[in-house]
Amino acid sequence: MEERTIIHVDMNAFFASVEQQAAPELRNKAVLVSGSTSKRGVVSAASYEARTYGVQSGMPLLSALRLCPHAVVVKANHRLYAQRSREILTILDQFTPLVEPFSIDEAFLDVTGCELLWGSPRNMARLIKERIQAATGLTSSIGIAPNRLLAKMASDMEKPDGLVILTMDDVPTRIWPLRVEDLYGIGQTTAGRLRRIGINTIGALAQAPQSLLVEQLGPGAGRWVELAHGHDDTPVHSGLGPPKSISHEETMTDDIVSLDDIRTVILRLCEKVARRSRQQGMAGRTVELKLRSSTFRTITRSQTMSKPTALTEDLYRLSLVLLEKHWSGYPLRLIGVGLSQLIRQEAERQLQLEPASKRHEKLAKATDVIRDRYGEEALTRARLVPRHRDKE
Amino acid sequence: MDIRINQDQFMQSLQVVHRAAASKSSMPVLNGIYLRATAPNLLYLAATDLEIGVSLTMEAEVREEGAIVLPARILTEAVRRLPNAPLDITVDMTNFKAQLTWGARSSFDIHGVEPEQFPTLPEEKEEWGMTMNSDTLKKIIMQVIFATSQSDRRPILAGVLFALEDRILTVAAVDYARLVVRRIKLQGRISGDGQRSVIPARILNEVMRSMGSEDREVEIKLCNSHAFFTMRDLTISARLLEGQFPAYDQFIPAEEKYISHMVINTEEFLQAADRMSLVSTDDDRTVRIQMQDQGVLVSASTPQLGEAREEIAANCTGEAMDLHFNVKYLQEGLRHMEEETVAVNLTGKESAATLTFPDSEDFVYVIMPLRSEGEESAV
Repeated sequence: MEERTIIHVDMNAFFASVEQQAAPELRNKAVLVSGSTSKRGVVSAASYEARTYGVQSGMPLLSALRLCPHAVVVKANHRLYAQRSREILTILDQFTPLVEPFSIDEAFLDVTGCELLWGSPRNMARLIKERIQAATGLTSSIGIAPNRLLAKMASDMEKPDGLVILTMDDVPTRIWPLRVEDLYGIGQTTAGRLRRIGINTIGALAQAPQSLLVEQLGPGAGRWVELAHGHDDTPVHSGLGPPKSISHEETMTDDIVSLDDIRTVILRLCEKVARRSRQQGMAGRTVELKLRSSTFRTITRSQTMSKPTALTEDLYRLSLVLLEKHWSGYPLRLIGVGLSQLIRQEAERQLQLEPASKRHEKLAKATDVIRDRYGEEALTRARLVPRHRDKE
Repeated sequence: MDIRINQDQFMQSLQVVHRAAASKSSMPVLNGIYLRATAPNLLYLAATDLEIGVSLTMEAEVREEGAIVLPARILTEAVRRLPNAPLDITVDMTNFKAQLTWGARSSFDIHGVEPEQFPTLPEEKEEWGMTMNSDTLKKIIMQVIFATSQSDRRPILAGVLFALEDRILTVAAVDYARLVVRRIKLQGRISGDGQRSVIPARILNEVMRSMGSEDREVEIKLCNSHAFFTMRDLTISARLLEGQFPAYDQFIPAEEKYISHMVINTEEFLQAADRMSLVSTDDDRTVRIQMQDQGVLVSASTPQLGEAREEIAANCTGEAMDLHFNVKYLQEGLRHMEEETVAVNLTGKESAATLTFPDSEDFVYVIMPLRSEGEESAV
């Protein structure tokens, strides 16, 4: 593959910074953003002021407040974050058509060959940072490297407001001394397993015999050595490619254990997933059910159908089959439903003779029209209507 | 076994029989052609992959009786490459080796399989049946077979329904989005009444290929498990598909549902559809049909390939409609229609349409339109 120049843009403490920009009284204060401000809330983002107290995103809100009692808790406003994210992407689009939004606050840019337009990559990165700040008041960290992996690791090296350039020659000096879990793509579990066989740094991983790794850790381990050497030829995918999966999950306010309640949550999730699939014109064959126990043990189990669907009824039926097979009755903290192996439904423009599932399809279409016009709450299934309103 | 046979006639027989042989079966005997010589002058050939069986008899000079199974591909390819002249085949029954000799000093040895391993073909049995000429049979098969389903979701749809009632033979095929029914009054011999069977499309294709171009009588015999097609010395036997064939009547719109009709010259409509298909892709075979006062506007376009539009004369009655079809469905339905004009009958923008012979109930082809692009259908 030819030499590439990849830029990774990572917004600093995105949600918290957006909130601080929107409300000047929050600036320079410890801010915690959380989806729910109740006792079960989780920190979605923490401002740098809060991070100095050891607060991290993903932490239960209660623990965060124990570390940083004076922090201001703000309820997440995802619509606002999405809007800022779009504004930032519009800026990035000016630099190259090859922009891949990676999450709401990160994006990869392939700027190979853009030097004639924008000058050196460093110059380009400076311009990007300036324009983002001028438009949104937000700071970002940028990594520049010959591939995605190194660009991503580079942007992580200086936060906030950083700009780091890595070349392949920098790998032994700047990447190898890092801990294995700092290698992008290696999670806590894998890092633990690597440490057990004496591999603590990325450098050690790079030197480890591939055969030993594969033998000890399974066939996926071969790729880690490649990564440890800084090799990654994943291309930057521009535009909004079709989604690979569509999923929704819900964390319970209190752990639930009653089959009836669980079914209701699953139905609600199936309804959301099916609705979103239809909105995007997609249908999928594989249904995935995710269950997290009160002890934080998470399992995901899936089943594949012969024909793609975007109907709540199909997702619900299969989710219940999975639930029955894989849930032994323990209390659940989180439930998720996903649909993958998606295909464009346009292929299904051909109307069918078969009257079989026709009725459900017509019903789904009718409810979609009503919801498009009157909002998501306009219609609901009887099962999803709270039965004991007085309890609330 | 020791026979003398004419290369050309042998080749013709092998070409018919070898198609029934399996090509990659793990049982070598199924990849072979069974030959049995009976004195004074009969050679019997058979092959089967256990789904279809083909057998035929031909003349040969039998000097010594015997039987052998020889690999179909090698035998057919070897005989194809021999000169058109008398061919001697001798089989060493101790090691099942066949030697083909021709001319003065040329020979070809083929290793075979012992004949006892060859499965018995199903015994001919007739619970119901009919005799018709091959041209008629070919015509009605062609008019329905394209609508059999290629997907394996419901195996029964890979077959054509044959049903006999009051001397009327009904053949029908159903796919997920279309259905075709052809009825014909039988003139020749029939036996039984009120029976029905579903014959795999693959078998019917084989039957059509074996019929050749000259018109001859075809005897069709059916029992609860098999169908037998006999043309002179050739018999094709096949296992029937098991299962419930859809009650197709429910998909044929009732007369009062029709809101518009177009009567069009069949050939003109087919040619227009053929031209439209040139600008269609595998992903998009949309053809748009717009009814007008004096005719029909047919058009198609894909961004990759181009656009086509033409107006064809038609006698239109009823509500002016504008709808979309899969162009392939139109082509396939029109291609084998023998009537000069076709009636296109519509029940709505997104509900069943039919193609029929005008003023006749002998043929009905039901097709579902394509959902109109970018428009929400009425709820």
